[in-house]
Amino acid sequence: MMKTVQTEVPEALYNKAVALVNEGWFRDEKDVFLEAIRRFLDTHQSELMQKNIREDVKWGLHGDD
Amino acid sequence: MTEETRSIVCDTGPIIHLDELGCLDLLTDFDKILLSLSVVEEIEKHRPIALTVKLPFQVSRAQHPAEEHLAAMCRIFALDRGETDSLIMMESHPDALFLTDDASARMVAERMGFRVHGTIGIIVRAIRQGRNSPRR
Repeated sequence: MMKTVQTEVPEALYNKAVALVNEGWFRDEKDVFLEAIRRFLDTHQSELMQKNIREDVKWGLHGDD
Repeated sequence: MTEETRSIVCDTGPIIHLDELGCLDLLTDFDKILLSLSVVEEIEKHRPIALTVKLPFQVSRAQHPAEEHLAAMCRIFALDRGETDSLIMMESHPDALFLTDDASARMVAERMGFRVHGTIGIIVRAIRQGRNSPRR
């Protein structure tokens, strides 16, 4: 099931997405933005963010520098 | 402090976040705070006042291209210019500490074998060193 999201993006960003479509890498702009969001969410999972915070706190409390 | 951590390469986020918290002075014990030109431009755009704080900023204007492996990872993780340029600087200063609050940039830095931390680490570290209080 797909959800529809309406948002505004800077023209330059949109033009880059269109360029990728025109070059044949994506079917349409929607696919570009879907892939971009999927990749962002892959690298911003809450577990990963928590791991980073834990490592920072550990370094902050027990580091030798 | 060990010799290796006297220099830091800093991405835009920690500078802005520490300044927003009134804690940018926590970076004063580093000898060098290396910034790429693109990071300076981002700070000038979003929080120009942060650059007026007296800190040992050093702006690198000469930027060489990223090594192939790093360049590929920066593209795969869709890092922006500031993050990419900071990581390129880390190639020239591999013993420095890289400061970023961006999860993707941190992931790439870890995979490159760089030491990387974020704003929270700097704040907690300052408490350990007695330069900051938990209350503050």
